[in-house]
Amino acid sequence: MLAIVLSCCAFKSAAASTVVVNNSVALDKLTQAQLRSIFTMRQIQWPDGSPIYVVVLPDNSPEHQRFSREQLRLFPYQLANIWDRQSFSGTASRPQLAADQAHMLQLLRTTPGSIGYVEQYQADPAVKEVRIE
Amino acid sequence: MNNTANAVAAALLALWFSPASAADIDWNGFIAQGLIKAPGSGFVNNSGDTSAELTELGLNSRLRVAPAWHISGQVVYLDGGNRYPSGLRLDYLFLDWYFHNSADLQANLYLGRIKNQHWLYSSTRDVPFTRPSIVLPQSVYFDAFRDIAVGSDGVALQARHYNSLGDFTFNWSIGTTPVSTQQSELLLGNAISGKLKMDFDHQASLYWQPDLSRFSFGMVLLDSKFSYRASETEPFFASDFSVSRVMLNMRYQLEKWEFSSEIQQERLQVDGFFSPVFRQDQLGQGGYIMAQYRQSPQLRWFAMLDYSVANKDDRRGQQLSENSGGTVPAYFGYQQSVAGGLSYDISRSLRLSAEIHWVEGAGRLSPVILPDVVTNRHKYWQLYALQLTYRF
Repeated sequence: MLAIVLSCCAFKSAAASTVVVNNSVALDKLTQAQLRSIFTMRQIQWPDGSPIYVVVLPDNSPEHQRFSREQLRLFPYQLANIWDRQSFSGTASRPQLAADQAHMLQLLRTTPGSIGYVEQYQADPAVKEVRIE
Repeated sequence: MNNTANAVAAALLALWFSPASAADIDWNGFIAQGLIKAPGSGFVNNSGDTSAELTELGLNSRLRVAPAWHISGQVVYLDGGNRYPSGLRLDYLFLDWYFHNSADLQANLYLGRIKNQHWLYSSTRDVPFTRPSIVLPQSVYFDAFRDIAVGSDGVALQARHYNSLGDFTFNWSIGTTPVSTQQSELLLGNAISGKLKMDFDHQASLYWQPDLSRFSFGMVLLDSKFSYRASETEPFFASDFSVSRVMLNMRYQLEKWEFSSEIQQERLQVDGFFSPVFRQDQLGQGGYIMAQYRQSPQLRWFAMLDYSVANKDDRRGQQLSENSGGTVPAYFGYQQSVAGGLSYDISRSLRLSAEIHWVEGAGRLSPVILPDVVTNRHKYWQLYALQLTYRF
């Protein structure tokens, strides 16, 4: 019984997304509203004025779907519609697309000002976790 | 148009060859071709036969020139038969200044040829996969006004604010739109030979999404003015037209279902045109309600009711017909329809859409001022459309 409870909780915590930024970003926490502003491309600069580079996984990836629903409280189709409308009316650029989680981490490591999400995050010297409050 | 096309070509070439890094420049485009048929009306063509005049091509780019400064531009080629003027056009080309950045308030100023950001689908009405149907509800997205309503040359402001009540977006714009001869004929009638000019288009809108709600609400105010310079050889006179609108909209988005609605009241004032002393001041009304159902990530269905009247005190057009001495049938005073359709994503970049509209009335068929009673001779008509869209 204990094993079942433990495995359930271990699974839950493993599936939760961690918001990760490049080390150049001088922030360690964001509110959920700020996170939504950033991923809907409404806020495009960090507080110091440097550009924000948003990195996402494909719409159909389970990690993206979980992140969209749980962290942003948006259905993935809502997010996709917002990006389409902005990019075709010229008011915002589309987020950068990573092929998978390994690619996401690689982009976050190498792009100053970038923000993304990973599941099963392991400490990495080039990126850092951002707490969502 | 040549000047416009040259300006676009120069601007896009400049963007293409700019030294910006890949992260600072964004390219998007789409190619859409379809078949459309509207027997019994001149909506697409005068014959009512199946037509390939459902072509939409677009290419856009957005370039970051400084952290808070961007240049965005899009060229589109449209062919919609009688629906709107066909050809290549500069859809937008503007400078975007992101002038305020804080956790709860962000604001942009746009200068140049700007897009109409005010209505639910106004900013991307030509981009097939951003709109819910191939043909948008004509009560609000009247095709004959497409070139005028899609944007203008001027200035716009957008501010987004978040507080404990939710998300607020405020838009304001003022500008003017060049009116082509073809566009003038779509609005006024084929018999004109004078010149129609837009004096200004002034709009403001406010959107509110309560905190973490599935609802969003919006309100739009529009005021525009046109002047007509008659030629000496035509039976019409110099005139002023003013169009003002109040619109309300709502959207309710669930995981599988989405409901949206926009309603509008439009005041049309005509001063001149038919005679130097002619005056007309009437209030039209209209709106639609649409339900969308996402059966799977690839397959989406929609159903829509659309309704509009040219004069709210003459809902069945009797007065219109009497005033014209019987030459304009009463069904030109209104238009209502039921529509249904689907879209299927064959792949990430390829979508197939199909739909049918059953329509009563000809109130939203061009031209507006001098109706075409010969082509639009049926009170009831249908519209069938099929479109394949590729995006990149």
